[in-house]
Amino acid sequence: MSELLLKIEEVSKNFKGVQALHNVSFELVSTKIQSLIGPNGAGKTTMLNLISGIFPWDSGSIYFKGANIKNISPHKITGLGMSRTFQGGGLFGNLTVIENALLGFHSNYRPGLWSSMLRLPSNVRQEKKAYDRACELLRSFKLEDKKDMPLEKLPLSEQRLVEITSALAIQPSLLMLDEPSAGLNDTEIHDLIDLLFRIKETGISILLIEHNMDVVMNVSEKVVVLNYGGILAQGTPGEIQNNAEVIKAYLGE
Amino acid sequence: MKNVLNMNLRPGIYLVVISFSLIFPLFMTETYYLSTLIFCGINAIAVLGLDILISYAGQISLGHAAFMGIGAYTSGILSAKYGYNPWLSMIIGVSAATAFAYVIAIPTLRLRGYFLAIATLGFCVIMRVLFVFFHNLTGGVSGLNDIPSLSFFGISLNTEVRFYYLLWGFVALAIWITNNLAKSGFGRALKAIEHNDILANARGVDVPKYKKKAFIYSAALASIAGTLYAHYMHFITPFNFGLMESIMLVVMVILGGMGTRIGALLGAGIITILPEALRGMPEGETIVYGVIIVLVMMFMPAGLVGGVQKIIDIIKMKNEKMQNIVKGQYR
Repeated sequence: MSELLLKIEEVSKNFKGVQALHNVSFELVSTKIQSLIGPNGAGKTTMLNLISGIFPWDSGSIYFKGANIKNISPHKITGLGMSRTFQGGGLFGNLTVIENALLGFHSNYRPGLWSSMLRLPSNVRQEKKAYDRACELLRSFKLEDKKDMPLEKLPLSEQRLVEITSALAIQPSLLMLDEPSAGLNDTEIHDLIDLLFRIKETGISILLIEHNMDVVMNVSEKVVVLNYGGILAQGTPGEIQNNAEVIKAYLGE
Repeated sequence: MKNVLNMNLRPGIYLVVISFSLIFPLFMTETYYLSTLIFCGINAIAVLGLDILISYAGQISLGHAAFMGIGAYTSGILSAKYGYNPWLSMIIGVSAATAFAYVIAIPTLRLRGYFLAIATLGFCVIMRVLFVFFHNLTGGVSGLNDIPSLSFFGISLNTEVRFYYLLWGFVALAIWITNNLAKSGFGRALKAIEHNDILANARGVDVPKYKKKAFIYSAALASIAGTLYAHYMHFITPFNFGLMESIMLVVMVILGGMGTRIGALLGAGIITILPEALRGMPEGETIVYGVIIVLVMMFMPAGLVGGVQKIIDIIKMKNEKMQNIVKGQYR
């Protein structure tokens, strides 16, 4: 049932002479939770930015659902069924909660100029459909009452849920989360772990960048460790925990 | 923050504006006042479109007077020199301006930052030179004369009152379509781009395409305003469509309040009426503009509509505080 969803092949990336990633290869099989960990500056977020098409990479290839996604713009990659959240919150502060969620429907329904300005029935219908689905998603996160609130009125943990709502609205096959636990307290982290399992059960694969090792070891089936822009180790959480190299990279000598 | 204007006041304001503008010509038959309001309306159409580009898509254009000019000259030349039906020449004029906008949009809107502002600034200057250069067609600096009036089911709209109603019909239409656009998923995508284009792109918004469409939309509305101006004045010169006029349009957007239709009407109204009020001192005009812009930027960065909203919010907050104090006393 599981198939190869994402394949990274010998990818390298330089930023003005600084080598951020060097010959990185790993794979992600569908309906799995896979973590990407590593010390600060190891290149985790850079990797995510390459996969989602925000930066071009120098050499190597990335395949998503079998298609090479080199030089494809981010909105098209999103349209292929990949969505992500951003470290520090990838939300639109000038939009309300539901507007943020609704934005996620853009890759499936692209409102045109004419149909929008004339309020053609097709546009009204699409908008209504997206609105209902967004409400449904927000309800599943117990955020429906707050849907018309400006984003800044929400606590951080709920803002994070809004971002995940927006990312899920895309109906992705692959969801990439960049440090979803940052700034959350223990209870909220516990809820987050539950949420990750719930998302996985709907058939969505997750690529998780995370500093909190409790979360990583709890949820992942596979862990990839980056260090200084290269792969240090990959394997099951158990293997990684006992890997001498990884321990050295994290704790220093 | 925008809740009060959204919910309670908005329909009321529209009702007042609509009824006022419908009744106005009945008791105010003096041509001068009517024509001032006609200029307000013409500018309002352009500002409504420009507001979508500036406040929603977050792009600045300093060339929208040039789009007015392309619309005005195309329509004017076709109807005055070649005897085209004014309505048909209007449509051709708007199409021509839209085509220009499309061509400018392709290279500039792929890039981020202020490329559009610089490119449109250049475009505006070039177009003004071209309006003078092709004097066989445009009449050069002495202007293009004898542009015919529009007619409506056989009634020539050659009086102020008649044109006034046609124009404000156009304004109402522009408000309606702009409002639809702003409230739709299209407007939402533009707001997302304005906030953070990289993020919007990663959420699945085709950023260059939406920016391009917003630009073309604003250029189309500007050119409609331009054609209406030509058929109202019957006479246009390159001086009507210069860089200063472009900048005034941007000022109207900023003054009125970014991202609201009422703000666009207010901004266009105030900046159009102001020079009339300052007739006595031609140099004073520039000073007053400068002072207004500085004051608005300092105290009301969200424009007049945003400023009024802020005041309403403060009053509401005070009220709530008072009520809490009163409740506390009885407890």
